[in-house]
Amino acid sequence: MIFWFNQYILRTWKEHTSLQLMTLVVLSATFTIFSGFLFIRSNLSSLLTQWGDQVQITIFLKDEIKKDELSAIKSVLLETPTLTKTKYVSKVEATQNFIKQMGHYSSQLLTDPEFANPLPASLEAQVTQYSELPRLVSQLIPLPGVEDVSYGQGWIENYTSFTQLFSQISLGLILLLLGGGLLIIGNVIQHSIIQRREEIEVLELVGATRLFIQLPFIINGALLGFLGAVFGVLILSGLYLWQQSTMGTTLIFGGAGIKLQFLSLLEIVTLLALGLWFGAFGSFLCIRKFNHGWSASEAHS
Amino acid sequence: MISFLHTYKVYQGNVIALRDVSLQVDKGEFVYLTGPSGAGKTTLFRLLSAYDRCSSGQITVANYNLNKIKPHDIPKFRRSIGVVYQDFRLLKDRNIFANVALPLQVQSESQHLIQSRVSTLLEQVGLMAKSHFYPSQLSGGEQQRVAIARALVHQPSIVIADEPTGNLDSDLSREIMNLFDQVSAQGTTVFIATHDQELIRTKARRVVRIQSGSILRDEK
Ligand SMILES: Nc1ncnc2c1ncn2[C@@H]1O[C@H](COP(=O)(O)OP(=O)(O)O)[C@@H](O)[C@H]1O
Ligand SMILES: [Mg+2]
Repeated sequence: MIFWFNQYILRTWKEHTSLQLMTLVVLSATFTIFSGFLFIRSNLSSLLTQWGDQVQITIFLKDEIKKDELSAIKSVLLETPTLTKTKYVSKVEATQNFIKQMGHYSSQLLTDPEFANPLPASLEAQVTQYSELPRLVSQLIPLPGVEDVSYGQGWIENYTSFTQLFSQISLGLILLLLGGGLLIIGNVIQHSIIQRREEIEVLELVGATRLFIQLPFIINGALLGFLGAVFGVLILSGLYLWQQSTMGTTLIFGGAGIKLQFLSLLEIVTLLALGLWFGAFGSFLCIRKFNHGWSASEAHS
Repeated sequence: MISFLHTYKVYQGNVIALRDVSLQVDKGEFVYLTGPSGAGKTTLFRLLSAYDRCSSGQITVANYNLNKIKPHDIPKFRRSIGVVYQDFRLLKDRNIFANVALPLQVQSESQHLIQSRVSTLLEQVGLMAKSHFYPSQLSGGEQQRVAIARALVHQPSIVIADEPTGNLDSDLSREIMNLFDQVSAQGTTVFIATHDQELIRTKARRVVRIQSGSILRDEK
């Protein structure tokens, strides 16, 4: 049986080489774009972080904060890998900074015995990965000793809606592409069925089941889809390597040693599985309507 | 084994190809169907191989009621019969071996069994030396013998042959008929359409005569 299907598919490729190759090219292009979207999507947050200004997070501390509470907050910040340059700003430093900004108008303020320093002490840090920020903030706010947390809220909201928009647009495009791919697979199958009408009829007459007749088409579709996904990933990785070797990521993406991550193994495996499934399912949809046992006679009458 | 009851077949254009045909063939019988060209022999065989449906009446073959057979039972039914079509219906782009192997391939038999059964049959029809030829490289008579080999290779319980000696000279005809005799001797029901009266006369068999779609005589 395996032998039979191998022969059948080999014959398809031998007899319709150009049609099969064309289909493969289109599917490869589809999956290149597909995996390209996936690549950009998973690198989006680090790209945007690099392109936008560095965002600073400031945790304002209560005046009556205890030593161990302060160190607890500090350790949360230090254990977060997406934060850098964590530093403590005391009440006095905060006022000094304030005075620096205000100029010399209030230079006597600190020495004034009547002055009760209204500025809180704080912890500051630089954010390198926006997508992690909302979770971090919600983790910090309930800690004892924290008065308030401030960060580039507006920017983050824009960032979130931008990523959402990007995801939606790419999902739409990908569905469109896959729809086109389905149409192409359908056409190829229609073509091979017309070419093989006589053969299919004879197979029916000698007792082939519907599945037996359909399976070679489905297997060939799965093969095309799988190879399309393989080539898509290969083309993308070629582009990735080329881009890395010729210009280096830092040149394009502006300093700061940004690293683009290639698709993860899981993403690649998912893509290949999707290609396989897409090809098989597409073929199944296209071939479903053919062959009903009596069709041998119905094709003639 | 085969039973027709008041069967009619009307083609498009009101051509009545079969008219009130009632016929019973028992298991293991050897029956000739004869009549002039256009009498309805091929039509009768088409109905009995579930290639086409009758217009009215009842047809039962090998315990399958062909009026009510479900689509997914049709392959099972067709595996229990072997048919030699008048126009052979060989696949042009497969060699002789592959053509004869088809009924076994669709049943997913092992390559080993396919190899031995197909070789045996090609030997019996005298085409072993040409097993790698393509149908277009064979004469009409040789193609006919390929069609016969394909109808027998899966050892069906009923063999139907539509003019299986139509393209053969009398020596080859006799050989092919001997082959059908052997199959019949193993208990297979054999039903052969022919207008070769010479062939019918050489052996004492049941002969069903058909004309203009009606059974004229049925003599054992
Ligand atoms: N597909 C068809 N459509 C219309 N008429 C047909 C068709 N097949 C056969 N016929 C007619 O049915 C009659 C019986 O034909 P057929 O069964 O082939 O006879 P035989 O095999 O005995 O020569 C003929 O008159 C033929 O013209
Ligand atoms: Mg005929």
